[in-house]
Amino acid sequence: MCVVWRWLACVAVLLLSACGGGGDSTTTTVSGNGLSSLGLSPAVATSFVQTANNLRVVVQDGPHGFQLGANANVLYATVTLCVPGGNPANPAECQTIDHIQVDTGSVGLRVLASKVSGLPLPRVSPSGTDTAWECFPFVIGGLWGQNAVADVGLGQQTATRVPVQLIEDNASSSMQPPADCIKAADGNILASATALGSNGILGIGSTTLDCGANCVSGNYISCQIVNGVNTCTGFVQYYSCPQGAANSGACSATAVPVNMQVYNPIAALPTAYNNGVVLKMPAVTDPGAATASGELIFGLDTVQGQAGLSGNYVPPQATKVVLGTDWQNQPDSYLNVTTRYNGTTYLSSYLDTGTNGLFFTDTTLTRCTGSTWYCPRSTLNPSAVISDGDNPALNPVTVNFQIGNAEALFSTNNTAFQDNAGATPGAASSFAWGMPFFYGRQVYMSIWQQAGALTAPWYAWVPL
Amino acid sequence: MTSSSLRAVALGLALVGASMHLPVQAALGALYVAPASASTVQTNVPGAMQGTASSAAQATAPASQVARRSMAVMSRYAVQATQQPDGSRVQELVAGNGVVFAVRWNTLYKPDLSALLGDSFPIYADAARQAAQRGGIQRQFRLDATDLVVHSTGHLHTFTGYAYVRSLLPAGLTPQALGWE
Repeated sequence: MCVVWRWLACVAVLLLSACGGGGDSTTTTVSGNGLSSLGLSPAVATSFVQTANNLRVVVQDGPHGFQLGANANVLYATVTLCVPGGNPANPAECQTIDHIQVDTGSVGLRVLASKVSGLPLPRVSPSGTDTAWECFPFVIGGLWGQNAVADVGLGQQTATRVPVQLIEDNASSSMQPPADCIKAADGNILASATALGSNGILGIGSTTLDCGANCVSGNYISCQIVNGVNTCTGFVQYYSCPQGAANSGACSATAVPVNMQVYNPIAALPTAYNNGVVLKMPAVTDPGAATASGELIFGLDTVQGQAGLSGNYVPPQATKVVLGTDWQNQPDSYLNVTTRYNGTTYLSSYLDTGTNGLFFTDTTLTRCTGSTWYCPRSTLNPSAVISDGDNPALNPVTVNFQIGNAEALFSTNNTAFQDNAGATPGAASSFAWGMPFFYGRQVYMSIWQQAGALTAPWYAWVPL
Repeated sequence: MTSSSLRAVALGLALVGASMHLPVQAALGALYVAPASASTVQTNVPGAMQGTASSAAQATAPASQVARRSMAVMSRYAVQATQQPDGSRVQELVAGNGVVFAVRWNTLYKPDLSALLGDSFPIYADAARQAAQRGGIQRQFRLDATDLVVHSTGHLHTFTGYAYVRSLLPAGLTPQALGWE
């Protein structure tokens, strides 16, 4: 058996051995292929000026203690959590947390509970007495922890009274995840900075809620008798746990109204800033950059750039590529766009800062030994066409990108790569445009049904 | 909550419709049994596997679990498609001998693959557990075991994937022919 969808073991070792020094300030002698004696290329950055509506973001090493080889192309920001109405200058009311991963592939802020243990954040209580706990699975792995309400500080802006998740990272806590959640997380609840590769996740994807109607109804699991066997599918997302419960065995699946579900913090910002984001990342070239620092701007088509404000209008030359929303009839393109590459159409295609490479199928490309990363002899410069989700004939935009030799890239100590790409099977399946897509671009990503001319969410981008 | 979250009400309902239910008739590798609540079966290819429909057991299933189903029949296998009120859907590919040799899913929430993979689930679970140890957010997974292949991906409110057992593929049928590889 071969589990190929993992980082190369040797790559992990190389990254590990490399990451002792930290990234930002370590730019020394540049030699050979652009690497310093520490195996680092120069750091790259966009010019950044703090304004009313932006947030500095950076691709760099993970938080101290992260020992897995996954910390390449992880985008981080620093976020402040406050008790509602709290004063940021008062540490009893607000805590600032670094190394929060910025993720456009999920929705909601989730931070390690230990990072805010001193804050008396109000709990979420759908019943009025018991408290809500949440199981939040990824495709592989997942999170468990209590929900709370916080003011979320993003740069100079505050998203007020936002439901968030406090990731349970106290191994001695009696509130260990229920068996159903452990199963949902494939046996691996991510419960530390080491496992998570971050101190939390800032989910700012294309929707406002992290669940929706399934959680409103509380009907998470269906069962029926098949061949005499009771077959059940689905996982509980929200639990209701009695206050002071001895363990999670006292918790039960619960319905959660939408105003208590974990909510996209961007969508909870003041009106001018709540309909989406612009992500500006500097260009990166082979063999990567030690770090890459950029800017996340709040709002779309609402602010002209001027002193103290970051402009967020989509330039006229940019095309708004619309994500699919016709779930009933076109599930493959739901919340996706279309990518046409090398003669193949990928209906499930998306931009995602939470994916650390470009993932698609091209059987003509050489794979790295022992992994599904691509390892062409020299860097390739292909192009693809990205177009609308539900109607791929609309809004086609040609995208030039690069496919580098992943083994060579990962042999450096850099953390930012614009051309690491890997195989994912399924000609009719997905083309994931992860972090490499964002370098050297200004990318506009809207949130569904927030203010704006288009009701469906969309992407647009221009070169920096 | 602020007024901005109140606006989310409409979206939440529009976004995900109804809750996900994925009643399956048989797991991967198991014998397919005609669904208790199947409504239509089409057998328009000569020699194809015949399904049967019965409504006798429908009353025993909660209304919310009653799926809209259809049977598309191919030359060497049948496709049992299950679509739920929320649009989540599962396809089971049934060989001529009645054994489910492949499944494909497209769901709003992460599916419980134990219900879909059946006896093959422990192999998947073991591989997924190992993959999860890498840590971090993972949105792509591929298992390429000796006999079992699973591909799973997803983001936001959309999860898709497929699984098949190589040794159960009908003679002459390749994953490429399914458009899956």
